[in-house]
Amino acid sequence: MKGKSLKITDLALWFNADRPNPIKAIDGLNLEIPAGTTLALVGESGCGKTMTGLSIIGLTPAAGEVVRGSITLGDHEVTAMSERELSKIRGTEVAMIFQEPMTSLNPLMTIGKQLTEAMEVQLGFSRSRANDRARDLLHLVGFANPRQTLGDYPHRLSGGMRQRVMIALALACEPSLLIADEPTTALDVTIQAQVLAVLRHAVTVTGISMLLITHDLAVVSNIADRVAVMYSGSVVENATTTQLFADPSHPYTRGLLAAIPTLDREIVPLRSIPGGVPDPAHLPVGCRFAPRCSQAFEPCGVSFPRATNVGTDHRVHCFLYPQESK
Amino acid sequence: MSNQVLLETRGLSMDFPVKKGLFQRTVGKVRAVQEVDLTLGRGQTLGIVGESGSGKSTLARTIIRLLTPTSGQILLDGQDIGSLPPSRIDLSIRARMQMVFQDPYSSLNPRQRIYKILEEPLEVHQPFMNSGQRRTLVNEVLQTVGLDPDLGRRFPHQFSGGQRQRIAIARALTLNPDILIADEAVSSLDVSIQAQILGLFEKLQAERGLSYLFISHDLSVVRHISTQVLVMYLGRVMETAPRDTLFTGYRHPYTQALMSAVPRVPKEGVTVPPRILLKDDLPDPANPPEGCVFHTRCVYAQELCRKVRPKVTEIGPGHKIACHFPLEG
Repeated sequence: MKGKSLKITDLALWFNADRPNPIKAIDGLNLEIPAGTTLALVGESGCGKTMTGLSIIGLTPAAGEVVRGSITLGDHEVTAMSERELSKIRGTEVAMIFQEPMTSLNPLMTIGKQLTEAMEVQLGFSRSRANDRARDLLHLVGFANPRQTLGDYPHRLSGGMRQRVMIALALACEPSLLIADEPTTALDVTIQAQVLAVLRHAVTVTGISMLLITHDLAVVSNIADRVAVMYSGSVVENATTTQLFADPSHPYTRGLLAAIPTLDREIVPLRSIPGGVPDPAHLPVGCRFAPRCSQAFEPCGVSFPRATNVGTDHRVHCFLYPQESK
Repeated sequence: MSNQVLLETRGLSMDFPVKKGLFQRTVGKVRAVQEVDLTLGRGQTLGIVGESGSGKSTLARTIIRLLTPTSGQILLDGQDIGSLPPSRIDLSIRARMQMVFQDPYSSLNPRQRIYKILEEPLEVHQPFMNSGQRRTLVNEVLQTVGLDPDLGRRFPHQFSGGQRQRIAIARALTLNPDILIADEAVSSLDVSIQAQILGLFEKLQAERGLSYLFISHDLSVVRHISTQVLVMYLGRVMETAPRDTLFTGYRHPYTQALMSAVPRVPKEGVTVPPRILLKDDLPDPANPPEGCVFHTRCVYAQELCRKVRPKVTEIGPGHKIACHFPLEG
């Protein structure tokens, strides 16, 4: 198994694109994941994180339409693919783990059946070969007794175990990119720690690329190589994980970090970001964060800021930094 | 800091029967809350942490007497309300403790206007209040939680999650309670909104001298808002201490494991303690382990822990722990 690179350029996914005031779930998104690395996409609810994940795997709801931009996975152009072509790459090129481990597994099928079915259909494996691989996969995600787990139904497993099964299932057909959408949000902290450790181990062992979607900045710190902060349908800051935490540059990133209560900081009143996220049907002109930004000034209301390099491999979309002419 | 005790529980337990078969015979019980002692001072915040299934919510529901405890006392200003039958829990007791729930989407009636939602507790509890007085009070409460009184004419679906949680808090405040029980009240909110609501809780406490029972699975949030913290596991108290003692000088292996599992935002000069990965999941509360309930997952467990349940003992001012082999202080 080997990771492939993902490149998203100026992607726009609108709902009701043919009507007035389309809902702009994604608008002007740029993202790049070099092969074999992990990128965390962080943002609040409604910023378009999940839609980004779904558009890579071609599962956006029917009302959504990619109105411009491209998604390139390895040498596939995903936006140009037919449903038939998409179903061929699902699982084998790109796989996804969802937030709810309770509803993502079929309650009427054993774990073994669910794991092997995908391999038989997508890879043409024989039953015994698929079974062997299913055992290896369950071992990889930390099940002590894979043989027994294969025969279990999902209701016998706890939330953390189910999410580990989901990881095994996602890896079953040797994808080159794994999309994990809030994989630990529904779990307790102690179980979250288990699952994150398993996920990191599995990604390292297989060498695949990963897009980790999360609302929790703290989760990304020891699993991601890079972090992209998303706000209202586009990325506002993109940096290596170390850079981002050492020198958060966009006012939104800083606001997020100041709003999180932590175990390490002195206890001071939390600084909240006033207001809420803009309505995706009526995005503000210019910088979309400007209405909530304490440092907003005239240019912010005029046009969307271009990416500016503020350090090695650290880009931010904000007028507080000198705009490079392009 | 006032040391006046407002609420106290002594040996509070809550069992749920497990029923089976055609005749719904009781075949066992889930011991959701076991022998919990806690104290909440006036104007203080008691944070209750634990994983799902630890009995946090059942504890809250028992204290507010939505449930009748199996045994133990609930002392509100010294009066035992734990042993009263549900019919004798009169409105004067209900009005003193109010609750804010986790999900602001399902805890507001979608067919009632905000004004009606906030007015209803007054109609029940203050039958002699006329509509004009009620209106004035509701408007005041809306302003207190940072909402424009004109929004009272709207329906819940017209509000965002953070605004709805403000409405839920406003509803709890209309009766001017002494104690607010917040059960995961900020857990479903985005961080920027969560910070706003935590700020509101702090403001209300400063202005009105409210006391909070603040239930959360999020240790960072609990650290932020609490004065005293109680750590629960499988229905039992593992450790309780004043906030700073608990977070810097915890002695229970479970508290240690819980702390080490919290994802950290990297910060210069802070070394994160090594992570202790707990094995497996919470045991079945219908069939809790013998001895110390935590021994099946504890990395320090010894023979004694499997056999004898440790008693809750005081090891410092306000610092109690249930463990045979506490960590070095």
